[in-house]
Amino acid sequence: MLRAMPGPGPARRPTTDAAVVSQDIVRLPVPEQLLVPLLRGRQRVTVAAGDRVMAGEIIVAPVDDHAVGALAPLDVVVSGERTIGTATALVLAPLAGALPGPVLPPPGDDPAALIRRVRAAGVRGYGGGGFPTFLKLREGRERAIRCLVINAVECEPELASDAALLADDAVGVLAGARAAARAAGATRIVLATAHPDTASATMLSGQGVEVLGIEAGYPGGDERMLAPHVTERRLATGERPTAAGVLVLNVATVHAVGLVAAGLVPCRRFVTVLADGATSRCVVDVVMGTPVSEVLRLVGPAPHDSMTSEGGRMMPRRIEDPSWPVSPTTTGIVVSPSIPTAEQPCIRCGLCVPVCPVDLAPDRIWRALESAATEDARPLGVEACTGCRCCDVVCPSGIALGAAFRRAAADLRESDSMAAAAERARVRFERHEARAQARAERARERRPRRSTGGSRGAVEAIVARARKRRSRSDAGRADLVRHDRSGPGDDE
Amino acid sequence: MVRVLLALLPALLAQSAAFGPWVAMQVLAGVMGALIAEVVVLSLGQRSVPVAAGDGSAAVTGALIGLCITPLAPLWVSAAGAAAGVVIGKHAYGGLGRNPFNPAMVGYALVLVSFPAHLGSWPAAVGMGEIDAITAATPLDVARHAELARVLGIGVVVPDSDPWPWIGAAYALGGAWLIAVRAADGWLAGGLMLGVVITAGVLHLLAAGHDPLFHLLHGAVLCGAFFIITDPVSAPAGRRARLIFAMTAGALTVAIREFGGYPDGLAFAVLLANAMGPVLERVFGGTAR
Repeated sequence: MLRAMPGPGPARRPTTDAAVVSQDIVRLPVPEQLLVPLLRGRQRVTVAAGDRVMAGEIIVAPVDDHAVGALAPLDVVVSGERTIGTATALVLAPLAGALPGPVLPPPGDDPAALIRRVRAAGVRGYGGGGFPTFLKLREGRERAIRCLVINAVECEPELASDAALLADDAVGVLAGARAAARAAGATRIVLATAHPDTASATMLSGQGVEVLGIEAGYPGGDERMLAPHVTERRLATGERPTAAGVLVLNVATVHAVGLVAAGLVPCRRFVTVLADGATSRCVVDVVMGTPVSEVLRLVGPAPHDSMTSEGGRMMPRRIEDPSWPVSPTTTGIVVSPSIPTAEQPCIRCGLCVPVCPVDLAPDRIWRALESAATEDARPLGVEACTGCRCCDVVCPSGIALGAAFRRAAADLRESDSMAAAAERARVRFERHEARAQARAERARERRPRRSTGGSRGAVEAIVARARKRRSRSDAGRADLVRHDRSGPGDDE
Repeated sequence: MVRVLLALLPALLAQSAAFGPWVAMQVLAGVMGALIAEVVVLSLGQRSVPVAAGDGSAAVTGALIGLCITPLAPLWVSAAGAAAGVVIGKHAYGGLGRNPFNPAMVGYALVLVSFPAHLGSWPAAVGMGEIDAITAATPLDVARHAELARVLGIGVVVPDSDPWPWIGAAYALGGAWLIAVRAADGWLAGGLMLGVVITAGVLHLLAAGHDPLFHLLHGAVLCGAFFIITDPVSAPAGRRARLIFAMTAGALTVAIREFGGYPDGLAFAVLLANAMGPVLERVFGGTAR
């Protein structure tokens, strides 16, 4: 068993003890409505309102190279589409109260077939990132990775979703790991966990999985922090773990890949519900697509004037509309009172620098952003910010640094894509111009072959020749022939 | 900021013990002057006054100026210096977090240059044995004038008991606590002391200056190391840049003391180093820690 050192961060804040027993998990039933969020322009709905769809059929198809699709998790009737906030979701009405068993033939051992099915089923990162898993598996294959890391570190304090999955279905996780390793070409499987002494970890260890114990602390679950523990190579800023021969997948993602390999449609996930003032945290086993408001209704009341967020307390993603559904990225649901925060100016104390897990200097990046010089933040590495908010926690002025850095990184990406589009347009224009110029050149080259004096000169020359012929015809015909051959006015 | 004020208590007590209770009045005058100036300026702006004035930075400026100014000076000197430091040293540059110069040193330098006579004389320390002396030369004054006296062939009165090392120790005590609770950057404090010791050591070896320990323990070096140079706003970002910045201030302090026109060069040395801050940050700061 490997032992690893924790990364930097605020004082070692231990994650809660995740000795979650299967009986403590609340199993929520299939809801009356399932919502499938859609990415406009990148996904295309393949069914129409009123259609009756069988479990396993395609309901959403990807449009571009990086998008995923979606399969019906059970027999449903398509109700239509619905707008939630600024996004659209497909609304399905389940026809049964229970989820079916395997509905599709297993994709088999061919890695490409498994990757295709993973894409069609819409499997994305279950750890909160939501990155399309098929792209990661494919990249792992292309970069010839050797090691697959099952990420069960779950460093967000108080979240126990991954721990619940490991406790509940370690066998499924193992099957998924083997399938994912086959698809990506890995020969070594490592389980990264903060609780290496649980029964599940021991079972996996006995089945050939290396167990890597990570000291509990925040942050610690980021794949870039895990990769150096299993390889000798340290990642450069912006480099992904696949560059070092390592593919890191969240444990629930791995489990989902296992379900796909068995011919099932992944449709449930464990979610930790944290509510201020509630008795304790609660782990639920919920069907993805269930509205968050439904989960909260079944689990506990949400107080007035409260804020609902997806994720954990350290990296929450605010949910504006509570009918937003549980999706692969919903690791937790946090209900907290909305308290306005008072921000003081940055005093450049520098306390944020030692706690950054990706070695950035938040004080300098903040300075650049304060003066609206977002471009200056690029060489400082703002795009590598993971949004862990360790700097927020230690900042004596209470500045929301993490959120500001993520916004800045998004702004930089947007300006980059606009610049790239402008560049493409410029190149197209220049080529168009060059073609037009070449056409004009060719046209000009052809014209000198015609008469230089124009048509009038030609007529006059013909008249002059005719006069000459008549005058010579009186002189004698033999001379005429000779003169005619070398006559003036010959334009050719 | 409250922790900085707490850390100044040992020094306040030590200075009061050495020079009498009027030290506390100077500190009070400085704090009042600073707070009044702060509230006036903030009320001209758009930020909520109670929130912004509550950060305690003005109080720290005022307290430091009060401690740096001799108790024999009129109280309005402290108040004026503190107010000037807050207004010109901080708010003129954009308020908290934006000032390139240390506000306490800006205020002190202004008063020093404007009212040199009022700042010139420190009281004779209690227990110095001079019954009829009200003022006496500080050891730095003595050091300064000893050379001149030697040339002129007159004797110089050297005080028997010297309170300054004890005062310095009191500053160091409070300062060490600040570093331990991470309210002050140890690299800045250490850098200043290192700069002083190295420069004084070199000069001493060349027989051109006093020994390093003398420089370290007298005057405002220890106060400066833990409370003045550690102002994070006017220091460059980055560990390497901060070390060089603080060492430069230390070196300049000794240089001004030995070759310049003032007995204690700390204030001007800090201001000069502040002026170099942005360049140091750009050259030595790097893009990360």
